[in-house]
Amino acid sequence: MERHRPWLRSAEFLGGFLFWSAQFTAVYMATSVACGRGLGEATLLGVNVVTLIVLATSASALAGAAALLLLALRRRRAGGLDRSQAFLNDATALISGLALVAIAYTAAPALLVPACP
Amino acid sequence: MNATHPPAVPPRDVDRVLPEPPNGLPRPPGELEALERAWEPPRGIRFLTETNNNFVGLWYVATSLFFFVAAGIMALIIRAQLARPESTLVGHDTYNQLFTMHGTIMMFLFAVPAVEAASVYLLPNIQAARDLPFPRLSAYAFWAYFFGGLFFLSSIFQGVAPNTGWYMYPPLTSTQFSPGVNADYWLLGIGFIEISAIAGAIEIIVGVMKTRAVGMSLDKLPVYSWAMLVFAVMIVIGFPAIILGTILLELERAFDWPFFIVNRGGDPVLWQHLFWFFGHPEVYIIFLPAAGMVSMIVPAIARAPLVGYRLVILALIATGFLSFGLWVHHMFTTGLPKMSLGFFSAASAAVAIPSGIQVFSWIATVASGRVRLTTPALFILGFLFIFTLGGLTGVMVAVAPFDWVAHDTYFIVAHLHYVLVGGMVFPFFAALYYWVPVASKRPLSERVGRWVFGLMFVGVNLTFFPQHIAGLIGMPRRYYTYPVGMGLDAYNLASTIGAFILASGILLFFVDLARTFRPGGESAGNLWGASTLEWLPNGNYNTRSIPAVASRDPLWAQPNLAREVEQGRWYLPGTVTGRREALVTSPIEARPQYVLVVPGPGWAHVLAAVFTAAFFALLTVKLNYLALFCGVAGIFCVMWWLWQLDPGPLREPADIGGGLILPVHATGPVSHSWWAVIVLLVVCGMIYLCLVFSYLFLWLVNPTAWPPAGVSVPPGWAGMAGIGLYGLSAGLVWWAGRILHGPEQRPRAVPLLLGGALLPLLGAGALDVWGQLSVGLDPKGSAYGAAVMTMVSLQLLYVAIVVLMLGFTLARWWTGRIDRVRRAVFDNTMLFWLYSAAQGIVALAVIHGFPRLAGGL
Amino acid sequence: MTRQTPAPRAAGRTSLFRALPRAALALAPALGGCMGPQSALNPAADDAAKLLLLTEIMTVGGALIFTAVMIFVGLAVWAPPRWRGWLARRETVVAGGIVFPVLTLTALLIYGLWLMRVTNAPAPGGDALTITVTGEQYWWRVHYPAEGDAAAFATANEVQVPVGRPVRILLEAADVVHAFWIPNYAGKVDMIPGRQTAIQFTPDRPGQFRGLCTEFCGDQHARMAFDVVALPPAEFAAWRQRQATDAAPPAAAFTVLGREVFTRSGCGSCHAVRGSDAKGELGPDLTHVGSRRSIGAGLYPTNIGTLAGWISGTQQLKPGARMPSYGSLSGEELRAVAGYLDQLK
Repeated sequence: MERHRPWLRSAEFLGGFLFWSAQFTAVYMATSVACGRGLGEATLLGVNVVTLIVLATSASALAGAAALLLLALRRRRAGGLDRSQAFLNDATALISGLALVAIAYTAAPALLVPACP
Repeated sequence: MNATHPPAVPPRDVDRVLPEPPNGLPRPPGELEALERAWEPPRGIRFLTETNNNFVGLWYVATSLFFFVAAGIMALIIRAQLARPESTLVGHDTYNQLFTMHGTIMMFLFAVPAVEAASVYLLPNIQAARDLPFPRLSAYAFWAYFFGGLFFLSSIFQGVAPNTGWYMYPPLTSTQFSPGVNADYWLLGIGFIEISAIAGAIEIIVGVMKTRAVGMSLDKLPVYSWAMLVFAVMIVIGFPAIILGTILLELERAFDWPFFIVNRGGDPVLWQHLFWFFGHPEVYIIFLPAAGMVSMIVPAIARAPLVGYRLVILALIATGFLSFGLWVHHMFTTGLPKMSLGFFSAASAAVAIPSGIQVFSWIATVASGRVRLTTPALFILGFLFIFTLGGLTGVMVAVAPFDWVAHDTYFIVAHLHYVLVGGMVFPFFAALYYWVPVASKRPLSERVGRWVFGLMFVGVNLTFFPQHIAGLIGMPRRYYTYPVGMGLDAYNLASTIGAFILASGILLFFVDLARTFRPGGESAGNLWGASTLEWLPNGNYNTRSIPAVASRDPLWAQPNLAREVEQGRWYLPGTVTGRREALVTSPIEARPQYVLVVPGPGWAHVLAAVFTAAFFALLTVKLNYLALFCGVAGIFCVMWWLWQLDPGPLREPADIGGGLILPVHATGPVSHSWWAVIVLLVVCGMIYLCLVFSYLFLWLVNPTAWPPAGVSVPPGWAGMAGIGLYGLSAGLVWWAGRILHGPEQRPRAVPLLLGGALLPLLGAGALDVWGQLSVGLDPKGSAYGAAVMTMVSLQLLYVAIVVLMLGFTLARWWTGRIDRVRRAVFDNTMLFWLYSAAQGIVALAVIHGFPRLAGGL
Repeated sequence: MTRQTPAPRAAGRTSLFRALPRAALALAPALGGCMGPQSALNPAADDAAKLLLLTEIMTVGGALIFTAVMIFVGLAVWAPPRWRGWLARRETVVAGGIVFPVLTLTALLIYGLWLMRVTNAPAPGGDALTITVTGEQYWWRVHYPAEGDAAAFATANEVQVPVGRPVRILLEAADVVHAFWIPNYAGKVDMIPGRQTAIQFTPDRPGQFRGLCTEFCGDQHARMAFDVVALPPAEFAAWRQRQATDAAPPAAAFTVLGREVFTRSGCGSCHAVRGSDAKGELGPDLTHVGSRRSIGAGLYPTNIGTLAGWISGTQQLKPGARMPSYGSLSGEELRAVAGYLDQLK
């Protein structure tokens, strides 16, 4: 039925990019605060702290979006969806897939660019 | 009305079982007449009180075209000045006003209003809805825009137009460097535009989600509707940043609260963040509706269904999200940390992918059908050319090091015009040529249209292509002149010639428009053989009956649809209450839920708009008492308007066709009113979130103690008590809401609880103020002070609004207009109250908690 | 307008890949603009050369992609049905709209991020010449620090740099947001009140160029340029020594009169001339104004005539500049004070 957890359906549908939004906000905030407070050179276990935060956040976001993608693909393979549910499912898969690219792109600077100067 | 023409390629997404029209023939006598009577527009001057989307939409589009021409003429003067080096055609001050107004009017008074205006007209028609869900709201938005826009435009004729660029960077726009009233024109003038945009966004979200043709599930939703939905959500998320930014800058200018003044802890970069967090999504807000229009026009001109529908929806949603991650690419040269710049460079590159998807989808659709090169088709081809080129230069400037070269040069001017003129103006002209037959007895002239296209296409390219080169060889933006011998002469002259060619094309368009456009009567019909519902036979009431659809291309999949709709064989063929009505459907599957009695013409919203515009206008020219009067009058008119709403169930549930019985009233989360308030509260939440961001940003740029020396945080107990009082107030209101769901029709506890909830609310507000007064907070003394005082003041404003709403609600209760069933006003007040309490709690948590946790850092 | 001599191309730097686009650009109308003294297409420093290569690659790449897309559009409209059938498939949309952009953008992003790392970066080794430039409405305050046996000094509207040595310019703003751009050297960087930003580059050949303000800063934003001169190290050292010395007292009679007019008119309250009583810091330092290539922030070449015109008619020439016009000076006084300033070399 229609009313069946519409907010959850919407969250899943947009989920890939919601993960991207969270990753983006987190990495930008972390970098700004770290550089703003002179922690740009700080290291943890030999790796720059900012880089670590970016990679960790990005890995989580990638995992989340990938999970949504796999879930959608599995549901698609299982079949039995009516037309409108199939559309939402396919769209969820596409959105999660493209979000993976966006998350990866957003993480790239951590590997190529120094944190602050 | 013509019969539909079969397409070159049949749609493949048709439901296996086509829906059957529920009503038989002949229709009862008087049914059509009653419908026509309900939708008859008022005569004489009262015609201006009309709220029907078909009229308001046309007025809105016409006004936006007027501003387009006004800003275009300013551009011609700019180009005339730049045609030769060291020209003295206009002085520097006039020039600075001209380019500022050109940009501001094009962005705020043309681009966004035009696409919003188009949707006021088109959206209900495309979804076979009778009207938008809140017609008075869009009419109000239109009139506020109309009067406010004219007032804003008048500033240049008085020589006091804003002259610091459409993006208004402080400190140049602070009082010290812009002592005149010019900047206030911009800051307050944009106010009514912000209101119009938010109103439009609410309208569109609820309209797309809740007023569709029966069975128009999300997978059958026209791409235009999807585009407008994303557009509206982007406005809801993005506009609050500029709303807050303009509030802060105006507070600084009027009261000397130093948000952006460095020697008291402020930072000009704060404005840049707020402005561009809005400013970048703004351009996608402008582009997405145009892309949506293209996705409707291309299948029609190709006579084939859109290829890659799901990919296009992906593209729209991805663009919506990604566009919020780009804003710092306008700040690549500000010296922010390189890794931060990298994030934005990455997202700016990523956002090219959705555009690429759409372009290839359109190419594929054209390839799959048989295109006839009519004028709309020419404009679509022109759009593909210009927009692709603009998009590619966009990818270039996404690469930060290249932007370090191109930023603030004519390369960017070239890029932005290619994407905006290519990506919005050309689709808009395609849309005008394409959809005029819906609104007018005669279509626009094909023969003249070819000339319009040709002149505009040549003009755009000749104007803006040379500017790419001029920028790279050293011509910065916003220069009122340039020296002899810099090698810039030929590029500028070519650009000027191009501008006049472009203008001649546009002039020709208006000549043709005047000669051929004849609205208000018969429509020219489905000349293109298109497949979507706006091409159904229509009158003032849009369609005679509301169909069920089986495909994204209903007119191709269901060939008898037009005739059946016209005959009244589909849903709601008349009016069940004798008034104007629309059909509300469920958000995902579009199953009919209830009949919405749509408010009709009236003076209240028109006067409210006039007073709203007057309020901002008078504040600008510093006639503050008169402004206050108009503000109060405006609020009075809004309450007068609201008083007429929520009539409750006007009759028992009615049969809208084939035995389908629906209520004519709804409350709670299923109702359009609830949805509208939720959207409004998201806007409010975003405004406050931007304010909290500003507070945190100022902390970040003030590495000495926060609060600064000599300033202290109010006592902690005041914060805890305030949180408790807000919570108590919210709890009591929520309880009243639960009681109203109970068995009693008008439980006496409800007004008592509401009154009781008022006391802790006022107490919390008073405690907020007392807390700050007790520590002598000086909003002029530091950015900290200014930020905290703004948080408190904004919260008090909400408390005041709650008090107003409480008064209104109690008045309705005591006049018997609220009960267990008829409770929209109560619900809206309750929602707003709960939100205000939550906002108060957040404010206290930040003001009291953050400095204690992080003040030393 | 100050005339700039075209700079010789450094030897051994051409390759067909880079020469072709440059030749194409040079064929564009208005020759001279592309290879001019304020052109990003005429690099004279390491960063600008790297950025030009990026520009060329992206321009060529973009042009190819654009052409391809337009060909597809043309095919979609006019090609025979078999070709159009291929274009109409969903796979083509995925290939052209997702796969190709992802591949290209990934490569470009990596290149761009790497370039962001290596341009505008502090030179390793700490050998950089550090200058401070402050943006004002509507001129440039320049300060060279003491180094070796060269004393610190202030100048205005002109930056001179040694060839082959890394230069680091610290950028500040006195009033509103400005931006500092030397197109032939590097990208631009904003000057924001309350913040200090920096730009780094290494000039690679001698020459004269022009810098610009590129962030709208008010009435005369369009008249805020500065001269850039790159000198071989020995000449640069000599220039620096000269700039650091105080002004020699005027010799010729009418220049002595000029100094008297200068003092009497209160010019010293805004302008400094080291070695005299004039110590004002509101306006540009004039100690060696005669040696600068232009006055009025890149407005006119420096000579007695333009100096006189500037002093008597500032507000006519650059309305909104912070200096008032001294129109009440007599012709003889004007000539004298202009002569005094012109000999401050």
